[in-house]
Amino acid sequence: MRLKAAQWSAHLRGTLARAYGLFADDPLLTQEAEDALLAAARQQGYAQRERLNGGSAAPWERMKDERDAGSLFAERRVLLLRLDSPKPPREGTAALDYWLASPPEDAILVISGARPDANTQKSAWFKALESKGHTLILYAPEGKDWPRWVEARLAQAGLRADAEAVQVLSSLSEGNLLACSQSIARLQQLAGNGQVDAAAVRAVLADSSQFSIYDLADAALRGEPRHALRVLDRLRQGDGEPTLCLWALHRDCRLLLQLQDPQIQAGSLFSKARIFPPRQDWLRNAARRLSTAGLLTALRDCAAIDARIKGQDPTPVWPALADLVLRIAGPGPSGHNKAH
Amino acid sequence: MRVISAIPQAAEAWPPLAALLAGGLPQSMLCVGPWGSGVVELTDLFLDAMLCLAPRSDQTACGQCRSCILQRQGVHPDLLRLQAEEEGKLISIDQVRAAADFLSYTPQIAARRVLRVEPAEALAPAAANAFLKTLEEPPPRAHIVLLSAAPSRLLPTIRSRLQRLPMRLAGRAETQQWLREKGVPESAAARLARWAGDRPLWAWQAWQDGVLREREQWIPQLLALPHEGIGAALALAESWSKAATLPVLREIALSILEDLLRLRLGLVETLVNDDYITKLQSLAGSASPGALWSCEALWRKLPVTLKQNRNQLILLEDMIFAWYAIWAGRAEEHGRSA
Ligand SMILES: [Zn+2]
Repeated sequence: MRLKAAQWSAHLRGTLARAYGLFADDPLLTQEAEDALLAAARQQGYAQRERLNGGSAAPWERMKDERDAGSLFAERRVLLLRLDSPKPPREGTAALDYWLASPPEDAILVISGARPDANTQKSAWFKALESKGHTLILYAPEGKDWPRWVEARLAQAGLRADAEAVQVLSSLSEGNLLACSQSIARLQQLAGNGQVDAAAVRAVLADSSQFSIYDLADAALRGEPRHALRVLDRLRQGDGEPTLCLWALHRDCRLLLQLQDPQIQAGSLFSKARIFPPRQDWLRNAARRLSTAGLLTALRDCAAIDARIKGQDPTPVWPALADLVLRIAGPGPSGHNKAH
Repeated sequence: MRVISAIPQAAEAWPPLAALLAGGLPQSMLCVGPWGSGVVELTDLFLDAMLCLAPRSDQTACGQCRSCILQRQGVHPDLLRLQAEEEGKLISIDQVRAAADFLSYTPQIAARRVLRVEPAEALAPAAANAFLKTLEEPPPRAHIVLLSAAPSRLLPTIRSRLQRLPMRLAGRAETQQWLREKGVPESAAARLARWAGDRPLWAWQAWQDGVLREREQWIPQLLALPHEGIGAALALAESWSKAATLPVLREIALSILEDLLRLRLGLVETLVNDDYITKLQSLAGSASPGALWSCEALWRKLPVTLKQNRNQLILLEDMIFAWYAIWAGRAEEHGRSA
């Protein structure tokens, strides 16, 4: 049968089934479900575990051998098989059928992989797995669920984070479960008293390189193209995340356009967006220096860069980020400055 | 078991299909219809009937024979579903070869082997070419059914090898009546039928999801935007990125964009959002046609874009400013004259 995420821990307290299928959008989710299952299996006497992938024989062959080995001398064991593609090859589904037709008494089979689409969920092998064992399909938190997930993870890690810290962490690690949970692990090490604020989150996330993304955004705002490009290059060579660079530059494009709108009060905008001096002045100056049409183009560039980061467009992302930086910073004193 | 009564137009749509089942079933077939029109459901009824060992007198599947039971469990050995390995990806040449291999075996239970391809436009060009020979000359007792919402995107060589099945779509009146029978109030049924007359299943789902309420909220926001400042556009993008269901927003935006195009062609009577006609007419007059088309294209390709886990705020800004740009030229004129 199909289990829901909320049923998982209760299910693991009962008697385990002979076969499981664990699927998720994000590898972190499958990993955690698998860890919990292995811990429960160990408690129920399944001490041994074996990964079927990566051996000299194909995992399907090994699965067949395990099934044929019988239970005479074998220890109780958990067999883990990772699906590399959402659709197993024909020999894979055949081996699975063979296994499910009469699963060995002393083994638990755990298949894990990416979340199957609706059609795969209708396929024979998936239905067989679901009817003879249990499946668990985990969805990566999206939209409004994302900050809630981040908040729950922080609490789970024993950290007390204020609302702003949660907001900063969710927007900066946007949709990247692994990066987010790694950041939380680092916060755990840093925050001695368990208290976490927005500054601590920013420090952990942005300090990924000698120059942070904030230096990048600030240099662009101040109209220092050479410095900004140098920071960008350092980020590229280090472990700078294009998503974070885009996040910082995009945020400034929005702010600049808002500052140019006569219906928007700069003071309330700054306090709502938590912008403090000297950033306020840099933003005001840049808003005067740049044209609305240019900033609207920059906003369109942001959409194109996001498409590149997400793999929708195969052209490299760093040159596009450099173009965006220059659009905000201006071409510099040596270039043709068209500012009037 | 799939039931024929779940498809509003089934009473009229089924007999031509039943006639094909009764005699002279083509081997390579194409079923065309937009999502939510009932065409997919109708095709699946047709496939059930093709596999059934004892079809009823109206040619529908009996639901009780061995073949029907296996089909219901999703494990029928004579049916292969060919689709992209991941949503939004293409069907590969290897998949097509495996499918051709599947068709070459004799049926195990049913009278024929059936290959179902959905959506046909997901066939990669190389895969489509590899498929040509199978479509041209399928093995004996093999049948291939392709489903497509956009047949114009199929290779002409593929299209010409397929027999297009008579798939009758529901009409506006039919959809309205069907929605009324399902308990949708008169005015809502009329509004939904005007909006999606040929997609009754989509309309029913939209009604259940409360889409009409969202429509009443979102259309005025969209129509007011060309007269507002950039700050308002940014704020709208932000609020939509938090609250709006993008596929629904897309349906609404597309219906508005298409209405503007209709008005420019003078097609007032086919207007979908006729309850906003005055506002639409004034906007249509001052729209830049080129920007109108590129905005429409952007919203149209949203389903593909959404599969990439894109940043929703950035995405919506892009779409909203494309909408804004339709009247930007006029705004500049205002700016100059002011
Ligand atoms: Zn039957």
